Amino acid sequence: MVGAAEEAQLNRLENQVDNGGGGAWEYLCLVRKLKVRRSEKVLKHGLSILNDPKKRSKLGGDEWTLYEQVAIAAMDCQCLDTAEDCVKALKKKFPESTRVGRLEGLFLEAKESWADAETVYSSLLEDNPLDQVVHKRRVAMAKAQGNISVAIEWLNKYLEIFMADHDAWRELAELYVSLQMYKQAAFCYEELILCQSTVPLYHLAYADVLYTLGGLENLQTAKKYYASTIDLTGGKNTRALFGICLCSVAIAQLAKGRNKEDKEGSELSSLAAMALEKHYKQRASGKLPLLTATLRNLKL
Amino acid sequence: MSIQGLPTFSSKPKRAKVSFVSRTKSAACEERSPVAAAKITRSGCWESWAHKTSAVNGILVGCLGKNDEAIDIVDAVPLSHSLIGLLPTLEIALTQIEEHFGAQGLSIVGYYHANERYDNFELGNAAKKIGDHICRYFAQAAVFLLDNKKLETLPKGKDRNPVFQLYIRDASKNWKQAGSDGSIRLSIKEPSANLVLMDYISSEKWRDIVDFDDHLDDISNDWLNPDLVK
Repeated sequence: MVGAAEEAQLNRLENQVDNGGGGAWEYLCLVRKLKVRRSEKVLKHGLSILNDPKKRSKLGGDEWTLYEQVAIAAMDCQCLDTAEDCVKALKKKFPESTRVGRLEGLFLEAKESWADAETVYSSLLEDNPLDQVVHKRRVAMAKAQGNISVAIEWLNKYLEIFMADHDAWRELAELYVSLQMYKQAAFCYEELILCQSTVPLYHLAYADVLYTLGGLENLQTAKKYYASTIDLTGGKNTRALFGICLCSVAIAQLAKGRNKEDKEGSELSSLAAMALEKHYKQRASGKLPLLTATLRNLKL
Repeated sequence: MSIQGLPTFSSKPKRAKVSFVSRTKSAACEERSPVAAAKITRSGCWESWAHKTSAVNGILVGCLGKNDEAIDIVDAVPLSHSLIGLLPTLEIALTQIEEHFGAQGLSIVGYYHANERYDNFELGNAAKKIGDHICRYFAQAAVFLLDNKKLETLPKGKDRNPVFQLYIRDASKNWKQAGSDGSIRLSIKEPSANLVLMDYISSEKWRDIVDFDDHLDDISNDWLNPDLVK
């Protein structure tokens, strides 16, 4: 996950490099650090360094990290010749390396030689059965081939061993959502909230899933998690504010005639509506009339 | 250019693929009659070129045409590029889209979807469910699924056909691909639409497109994309 400030910094650097202002190496390092996927840019700027002997020699040992980064970017952009060249260079330099072995597997995946990639990964796992990256590649391969249920099965097995891998829990949740298996997705977000209770995005995602599941109890819980997201983000999260409004409307519809009105609940939704109007007034005043009309239609 | 990459399993592993959304600009017609031909013009903004590695979707806006036999698709609003199966973004967007376009006498008439994977040509369950949801707004709503193969061959040939498949809900509420029995066909009203589309790709206008997800992340992003399609 990348924060807004980090993304802004990355974009700034990217613009600078794109416009000939230098800083390609810093940009590539930042992409690596933040683990973002900007393969076209990485390929372009990475190759410009690798193809220039002077720039390449300045990197020293980091040259090989760059080869790896460019190889992966090339695979992502389907420039398989470039990828193959990089992998070959790395294999020559580090003949027995597991890291290069993984890259070879990745290359086979890019070529869609699934069986060959599986062979490579199996042999890597024989040497090191706890290689997390290789386990995850298998999940990715299943996903790439459209076997989402197989991907889920592999990922569940992975998480039995590596249960602290938050990214894996998030991925599993997203896979479940893509199959509309919302209860299972909710379970994943519950695990994430248990491990990292102060990350607002997990509260928000959990609330979204509960809202989608529907039913009075889920909606009431969703509302609480939208509220906790607002709490954790200092009231700035637009989705959470909208979430409160949506939950209130849905709860009111379900609870019609059943219980006495929930005073505290309606106060919360009025506050959320007011906060939304304030934000829109400040940052998107053109859309304020539309928002006001929308909230009015929602009876808030 | 097609991008058929591979999932990198860092924090957001997804299979990169060609996935696009084209945005209709001027009037498009979808005639439901025995002779029917659906004509769609696009000025071609590539929403999901900006999100190559995920599924994307959006809402189609329009009105009933002459004699209630045709449905004009007038505009499109890009919706999401993440966690498409969840309701909140969809519901907020539908409410706002209805409110905004209602004032112009238009309504929600359809939905478009582009799959995450390049070689996936099926209308998935998530897309069907959203289609069902849209049918509550407009009973004859149609679903458009991007056809990656057609899109890939677009720069090579002079194909003027639309690059997506049309799905209609039948009497038993199942989504079926239209056109195989000849009752409804898609064609492009404006012959140069695909050329405009390719121009938008090469000039990288797709980088500036804003969908509803982007708007919710930062409300100063305008999901109407007023400057993008002129």
